[in-house]
Amino acid sequence: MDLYAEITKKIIFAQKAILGPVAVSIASKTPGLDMHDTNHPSFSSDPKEVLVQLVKNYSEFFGDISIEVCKEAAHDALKQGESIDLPDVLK
Amino acid sequence: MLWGIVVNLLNLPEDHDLRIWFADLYWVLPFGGAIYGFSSSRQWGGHTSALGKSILLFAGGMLLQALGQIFYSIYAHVFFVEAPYPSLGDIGFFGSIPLYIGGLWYLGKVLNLSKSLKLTKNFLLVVGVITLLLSSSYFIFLKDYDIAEISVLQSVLDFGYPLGQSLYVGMASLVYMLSVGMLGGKLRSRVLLLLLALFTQYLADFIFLFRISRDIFVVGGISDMLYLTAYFLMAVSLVLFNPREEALK
Repeated sequence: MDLYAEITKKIIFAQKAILGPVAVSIASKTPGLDMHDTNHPSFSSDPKEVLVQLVKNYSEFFGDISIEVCKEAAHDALKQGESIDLPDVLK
Repeated sequence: MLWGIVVNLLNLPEDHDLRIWFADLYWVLPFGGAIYGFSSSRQWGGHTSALGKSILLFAGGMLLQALGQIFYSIYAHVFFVEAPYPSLGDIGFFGSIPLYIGGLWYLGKVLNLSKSLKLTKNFLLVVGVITLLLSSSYFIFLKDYDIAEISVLQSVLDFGYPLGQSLYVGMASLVYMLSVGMLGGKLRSRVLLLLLALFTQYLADFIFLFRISRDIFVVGGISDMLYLTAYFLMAVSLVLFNPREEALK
């Protein structure tokens, strides 16, 4: 799985631990994100843009607190030494 | 609510049927709110998510409050005993305290407060607020407490009520203080309403204990109105927390 997909999966799972099935439902409504298999999300458009939209969708629930959760999940997904062009909202 | 307001505005006598029936029947509100809360919790994944668990515990606390009210009505009208203590009613009223504490614990997880608590100043704030509330409860209700000739169960409840209630309102204050700066989005107003309900419930508990301890409690009076207001606020917040609710879709 590529790193963007791994980050997306971690974010969805972190939000699922807080919001339950609603978190998956929010993710599946994100344009450009294919959620047929929750464990292997895939993209039909620019993954960086999709990530921005996903974080924005979650932030509609708890504001900055939701963004913090997404940031922590994204950084957890990155193994030591790995780097990726993360969107500003996740930096 | 209107019934209670009318009863108190007209200052009806203590044994007036309208006052007694008001006090006996307002459990319907927390009971209905609890049932709706269980449904809301299920929508958020119930015990599988932090928000689901939090709502489940608050709804459980409300259900126990309703059961406490029902038991007291049964004692009054079936066994002709006014508010026996300790009694089965205390299973409801006392039992709701750990459930509210659990609900706040999971609400803290939802709001990602564990990170905030790692900061020394916030940790000191937690210790300070809890110590202040516990010690003020002790000095107001328990300072001159004489344990002689009181059953162990009653002693546990006499200490447990004011201290347990201080603990949950202390936790609610901390959840508010540590999250209000970052809390936003659609659920902000619902969280704040839930915390307001807990503060109102604490005020109701505090005034109830104070009036009972000074022997000035009146059935269907200010204490029952405050409890009803707290239940109303919590029921509304649990209804608004349902993800099927239009504004959350």
